[in-house]
Amino acid sequence: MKDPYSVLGVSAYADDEDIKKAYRELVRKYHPDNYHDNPLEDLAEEKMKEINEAYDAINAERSAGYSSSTYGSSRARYGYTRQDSGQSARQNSSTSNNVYLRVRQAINSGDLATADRLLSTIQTRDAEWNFLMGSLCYRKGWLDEARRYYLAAVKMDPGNMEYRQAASYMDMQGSFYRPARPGMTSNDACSCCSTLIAADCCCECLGGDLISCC
Amino acid sequence: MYGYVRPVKGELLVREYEEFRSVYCGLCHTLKHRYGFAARFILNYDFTFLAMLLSPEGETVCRELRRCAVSPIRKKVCRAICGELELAADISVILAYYRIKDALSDNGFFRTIPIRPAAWCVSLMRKRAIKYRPEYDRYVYGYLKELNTLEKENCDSIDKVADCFAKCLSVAASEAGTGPRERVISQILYHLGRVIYILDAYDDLQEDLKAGRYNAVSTRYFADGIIDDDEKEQLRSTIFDSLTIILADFELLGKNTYTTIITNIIRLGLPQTVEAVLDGTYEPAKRREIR
Repeated sequence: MKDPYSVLGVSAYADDEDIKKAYRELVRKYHPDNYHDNPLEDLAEEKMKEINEAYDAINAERSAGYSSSTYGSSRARYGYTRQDSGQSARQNSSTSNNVYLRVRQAINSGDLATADRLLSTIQTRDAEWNFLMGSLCYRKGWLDEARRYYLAAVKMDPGNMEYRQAASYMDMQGSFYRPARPGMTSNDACSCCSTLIAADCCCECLGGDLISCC
Repeated sequence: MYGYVRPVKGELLVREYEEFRSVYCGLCHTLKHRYGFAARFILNYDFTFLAMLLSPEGETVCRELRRCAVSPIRKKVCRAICGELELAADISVILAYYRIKDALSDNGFFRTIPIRPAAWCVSLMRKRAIKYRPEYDRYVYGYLKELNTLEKENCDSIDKVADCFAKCLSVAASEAGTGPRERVISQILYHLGRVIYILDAYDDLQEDLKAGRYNAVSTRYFADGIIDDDEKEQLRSTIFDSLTIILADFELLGKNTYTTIITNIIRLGLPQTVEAVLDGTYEPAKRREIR
């Protein structure tokens, strides 16, 4: 096994807080949501497993060192435990249409040609057909069509959470496009408060007051 | 390719900038070494990116000092000729050949007279490239033939058309190997190809409309001949969907010497180019900018 510290990208002397921070950052990066329907999902899953194992190993090692450590097995773990493309919906539909089940299996196993062939044989193009077509297109990298099929599925069956989730994933992923060097212009709540406190100090120096309670 | 893939220079560290330049110079020397002096004219940033992406994980690269026609007196730091640079050079020659061939068939006899000597040179180089990469050339030939058929049919699916071009890039990864790393690179190159194709189609939009030629973007988004904001927004979002996937996939690659430069290109350079092309303010990079 690799050195757990190098997996998390921290030094062996880093304190617990830094390790937690590095772990969270990596989890955010390799989160299943970022690889939803991506053909490389398996690689991301492996990476996540490696990170979780490394984090567990460090915690185990450190809690053995100081017995009073607060970290333990109660910590929430992140991982690929999400239901794969809506297991429940699959069961509902399987009674009415066996072909869709086979399409789903083909898509999940990466056999896109079979899924394509099966979908093209279906005459009635209902919401599920559109959804599966969207899923297939997404895996192929045909993102424009994927979006259109997902939206069509949502329009036909607005109550279905699975379809809506798929459509919203595409929008959510777009928002992950953040600038490369965050921190240079941080507009979070912390910096807002600290600016206010600094402003209050300045006012007090000049005899006035901005925040009356401090 | 088209020079769309480049870093935002102001955001690079000096060290990173010098590293990028050394790959650029190294690729130039590789082209000359393998294909002769004239090959240097097909050098561009896209293939510099390719060479950096293909570089193996955790490797410390070999650099050397060399003179060249552009800098005959002072020697420049260049990346020493290696497998990735050779692959990037071969691919650039093969793709340049098909691009110039496409330009010849798109325009009439008189308009192509100025590019004919260049086309002849490139076809000679391609003959040599086929010897190095026979499989790759065969793939590209097949995909571009398919692309041609779709264009003739006036295909209204931008994904289908872009798919043919995107595959030309993604198969390049299989020339480098078949491990998980190459799988990731292949996926990155696929989406990069998709973005480049769509951007190039948008860039040529006005010209194609005037000449009455097929244009994938206008057939899918602006079928009525008017570019309105809503349709443009859809076009932008589909490009950014691809960029998002490139970004997510890149995180799966282990670090190599160029990781920070590639991150700059993917996170800053590409979005900037996309916005510039969509605004109509895009200008091809000048070679001297990087020297």
